[in-house]
Amino acid sequence: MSRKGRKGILGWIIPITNMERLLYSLHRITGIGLTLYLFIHIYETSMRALGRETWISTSEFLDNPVFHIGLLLVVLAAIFHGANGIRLILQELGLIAPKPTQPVYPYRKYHRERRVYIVTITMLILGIGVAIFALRDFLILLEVLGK
Amino acid sequence: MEERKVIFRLRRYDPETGGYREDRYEIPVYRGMTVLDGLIWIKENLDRTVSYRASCRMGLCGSCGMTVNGRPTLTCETQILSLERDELTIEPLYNMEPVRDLVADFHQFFKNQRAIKPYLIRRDIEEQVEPTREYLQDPEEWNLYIQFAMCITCGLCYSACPTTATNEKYLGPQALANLFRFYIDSRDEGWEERLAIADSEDGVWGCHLATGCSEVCPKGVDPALAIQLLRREILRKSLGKKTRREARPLAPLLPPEEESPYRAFGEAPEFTVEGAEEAAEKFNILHDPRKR
Repeated sequence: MSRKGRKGILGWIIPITNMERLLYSLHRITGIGLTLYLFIHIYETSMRALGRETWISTSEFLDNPVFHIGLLLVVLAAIFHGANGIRLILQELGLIAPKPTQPVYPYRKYHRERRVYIVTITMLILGIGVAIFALRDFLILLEVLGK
Repeated sequence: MEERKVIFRLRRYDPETGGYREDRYEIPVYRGMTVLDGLIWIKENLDRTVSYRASCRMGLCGSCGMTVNGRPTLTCETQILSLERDELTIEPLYNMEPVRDLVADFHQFFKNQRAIKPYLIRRDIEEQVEPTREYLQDPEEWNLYIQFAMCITCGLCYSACPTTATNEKYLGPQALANLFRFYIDSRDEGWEERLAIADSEDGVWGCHLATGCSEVCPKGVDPALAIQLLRREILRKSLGKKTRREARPLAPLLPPEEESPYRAFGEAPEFTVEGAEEAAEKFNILHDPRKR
């Protein structure tokens, strides 16, 4: 904890109080992960410019289970980040916001239920939609890795 | 019935060293005992140096917010047995400067609250200061803001917010929910001013919809919803669409004094408490929009 009591970057991850807070943390983590992957990917493909020999040796170096699993994680992270990103745009701009109502005791339960429904339904619709698009590429990737 | 014991681990801030130390206390727990009751028991029976802030003990004043097991909680409303733990870790609220032990400083929190102008802004200031008529409001209009007017400024939302964890200038969920409360109030005429305050990186655009604020709110205020609705209004405004409607006209003039149903009440009584008149004068100065 910082001197002024602020949690700092640690505050992005804790406290996990609810589902959307968890999605927020995962969105940040997958975002950072995908950015890192982008740089690694640019570095990897730039090996092509150093000649055929270098490119082949780089490909051989990357052809192992650790990188294969890493690549699958990248695909999963991209699917999650994309679907959650669309949900955030819809929710953050108030496009699927419910009308304010008079809170009824016990307040927490009522609001939690309402929010959980909204998040679950949008994530399911978007998740399935994005996954169908991604599945094709995913199968191609598996086929390539299989060879 | 066997007496149940629960361990309270207090993460106490020491202003002299600037660090935290952890003290453990074992306390007997009865059914219905709240976390605040536990702290009071410790202070009365085990350690008189423990500092915490509390007042009404019934979830109204919003003084006793603390972090219990990593979650910002109103301790007077949280029963120990409902947490189903043998050990509770209690810390001061996150994202606020600790003062001593479990007490957090609300300086920045209330500064943000003041920044959003938490009062009705009217064009007819004279009428606001010396009212001759009533403001009209129907239940439908009341319903639009009452949810956000339930706030008790306990600071739990501010403490749960990941944006306040890194951005000191961010207005925070409480201030933004309060801003929306006045923005949507049909009696308010300062909506353009309010939207300008909200439309900044340290305003609604700083929020990333983690909704921890709404989750920990003990009064169901739902600041995340207020921020979403504010964003929608800003978006509508930037697209040139209609935003909030004009404030409603005032109620018709009251009948002359002799016909007024209120005349039976007569004049307000004289002040009987010493210093009350000065205090009332000071209060009026503070709340006079002509002197803001």
